[in-house]
Amino acid sequence: MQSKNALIIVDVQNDFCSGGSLAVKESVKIFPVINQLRETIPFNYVYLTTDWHPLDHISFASNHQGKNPFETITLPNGKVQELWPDHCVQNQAGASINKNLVTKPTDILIKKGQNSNVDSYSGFGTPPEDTGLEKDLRDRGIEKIFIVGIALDFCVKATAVDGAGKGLFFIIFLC
Amino acid sequence: MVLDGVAAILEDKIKDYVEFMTSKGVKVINSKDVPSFV
Repeated sequence: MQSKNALIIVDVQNDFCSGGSLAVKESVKIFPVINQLRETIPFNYVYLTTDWHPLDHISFASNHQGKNPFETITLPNGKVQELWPDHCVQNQAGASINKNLVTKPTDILIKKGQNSNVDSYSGFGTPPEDTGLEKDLRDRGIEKIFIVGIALDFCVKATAVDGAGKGLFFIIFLC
Repeated sequence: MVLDGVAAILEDKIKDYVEFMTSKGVKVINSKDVPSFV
């Protein structure tokens, strides 16, 4: 019997696409690749992770007086926090999935970064945040997880590394 | 400023990226090879 698989599409949201507040260069290139693969490959489940930040989120430079986007601060716990422009604010247009990505009603939406005090690059969440992704994958008996999205060197990377650390089998595919 | 987040523009870094991910137990493939891994 073939093992169950899933595709996780990471953060394909307006703010990370052209014209967004934290746009990723040439992100438009991933849309046709993902859309075509979804047409041709019968993934058992498809997840869409999203940054879903409150306005007072710790990663927003606007919440730190005198700081600018792309600077860093050191938090009381010693962790270095990168600062970003306001992005993917809950219920705002920038947080919506980009219309160029083909989605389906059965897609499973995962929201991360909802805790004001913790940045969560990983789709699993960063403690104390738990997005429920791990439980959902395990409950569905998914053994192989393909992952793609933006940004490759931030949230895609963090989600895959985090998942592998939990004993899940992750395959990143490059567009 | 925009982020470098798509493989096509990470060409000079992609080898290190793949090595790092492999060391963490993550397999990295090209999109055209996905069907053979399903």
